[in-house]
Amino acid sequence: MFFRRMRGVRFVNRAPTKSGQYLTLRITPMTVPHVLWWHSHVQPIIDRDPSRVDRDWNWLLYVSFATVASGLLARQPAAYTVAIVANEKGAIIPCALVQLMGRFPALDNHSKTGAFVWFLSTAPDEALTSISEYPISDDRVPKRLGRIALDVAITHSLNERRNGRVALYADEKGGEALVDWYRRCGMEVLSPNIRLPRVPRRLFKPSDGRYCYFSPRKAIEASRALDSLR
Amino acid sequence: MPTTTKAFLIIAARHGIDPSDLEAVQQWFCEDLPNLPIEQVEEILEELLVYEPNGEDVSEARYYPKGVPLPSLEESPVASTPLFAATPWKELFRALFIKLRGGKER
Repeated sequence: MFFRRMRGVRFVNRAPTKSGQYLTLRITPMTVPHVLWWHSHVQPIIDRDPSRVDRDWNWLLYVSFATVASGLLARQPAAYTVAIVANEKGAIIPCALVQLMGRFPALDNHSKTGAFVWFLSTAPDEALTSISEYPISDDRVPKRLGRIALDVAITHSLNERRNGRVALYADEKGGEALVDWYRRCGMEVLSPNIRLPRVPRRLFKPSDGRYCYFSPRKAIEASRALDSLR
Repeated sequence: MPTTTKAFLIIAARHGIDPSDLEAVQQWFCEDLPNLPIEQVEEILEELLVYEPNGEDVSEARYYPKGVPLPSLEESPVASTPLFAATPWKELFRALFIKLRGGKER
């Protein structure tokens, strides 16, 4: 645990598939071309599904906060694209996007800071099997993309010396099922009786049982669980 | 805590962009926002982080760009990791161990 926190962690670089083989992934800083492609190809498919929490998200509105002067902003926003590497095409296929605030008061210890996930989205299978330039068969679609995307946030936090602390707010649209999914990923849920740290959000969106977080211990456990994919 | 698109539309409108023209709003956030003074970007970000829709209609207009090519592999470098995280410690220690044993692997 100590070494992982001291030396940092490599990002995931492969994902399992139904076929039993692994697919090469690349975690890369998010750029406008990534979200342009996502918005032209993946988001329309997400928007057709009323059950998706990320329906009507618009990454073209978010990306600039992470690409420009992010180091100068107090919240230190950062954004990553999880992408399939298509070497033969010299291209990548974005399959998950993560945008976070790199420096946000931690939920488990208000005197510390951690990462706060602002947006996190994974491509539906249909979006990956319907790419005309690079069709991916059903059995080659990467699995565990949600966990991998969450791991990107943990890895960012560990590598930025925030001890793996990551928090997020589980969108109400996802209902209890979404909170349960984060719980299954190893996150703890902040009790509605516990106040948020001193940020303006405490007034506008107080603790209501949907704030989830990784404490350093839980983050290390979750990070270890994906070591076979690094 | 995803922020609804509505909040972005409100901010774009304040900067003279027609909020019903989603393409123009997207363009403003992608191209113009980065050129604003850093203090102003900071203020906008904080405003977005605390925005709550308060029950208003948040159904969004949609605009999808067409004919966008797959992003280039060359222009998508692997996200950086700290030097020590990228070092293959296991392999190094194994090689050292083998060397100390006189080059014989058990």
